[in-house]
Amino acid sequence: MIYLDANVVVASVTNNDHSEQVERLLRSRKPFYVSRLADYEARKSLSSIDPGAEKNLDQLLVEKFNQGKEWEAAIMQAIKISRRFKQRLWVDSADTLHVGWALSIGAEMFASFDRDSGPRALAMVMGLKLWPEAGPIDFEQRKLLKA
Amino acid sequence: MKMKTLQRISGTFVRHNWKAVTEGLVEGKTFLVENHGKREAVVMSPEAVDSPKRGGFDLDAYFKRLKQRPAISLSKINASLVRSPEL
Repeated sequence: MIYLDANVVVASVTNNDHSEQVERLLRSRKPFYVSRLADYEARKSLSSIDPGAEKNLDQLLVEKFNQGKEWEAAIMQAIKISRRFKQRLWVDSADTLHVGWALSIGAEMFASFDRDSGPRALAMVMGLKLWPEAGPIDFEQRKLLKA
Repeated sequence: MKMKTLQRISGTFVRHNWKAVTEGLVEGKTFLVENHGKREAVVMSPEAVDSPKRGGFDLDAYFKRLKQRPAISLSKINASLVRSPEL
């Protein structure tokens, strides 16, 4: 199972400079999962950058993605993460919840383009594989969680 | 795949083997389990179970159509998703 962060969801329904990379991902035989949180964030983003692309999201949710609306398990995992890292958890609530959500569904991989706010580093620390593959920025951010 | 009744799984088995547990899940029974008296969220939710939707979708046609839309940058996508600093 591959958990899709909101930025990857948006990138999968718009024409953008990473479309070919996203296309290769979607051609993977692994199942894809879009949380209600990612769905909401993606729709909010699309309303400002490409409103017409929302119908593509509707289509992928029917044809390609699994969608999860169960918040409770995800929140409990996020709380567990918070208790583990305490003040070292510099990742914001929503990004922590994305990682918690991925863990709650037993995802193996966390797909995100967000290299600024820490969800990739947090996912890596929690044992998830990253897509795109982890790079120097991710390893640097991971150090902050381990400090 | 073998069906498992997840409501009955508890204790350290879940903590150490939850991925193995989810691999055997066909239909979600529950995804909150008791672990040493505490509720834990460690197993796959019902919506995450394999569904027959995969496989039939024409990605070639989808991306061909997508590439006809106006191009935007990933930085614009990321900027649209930035949240306000938390209080």
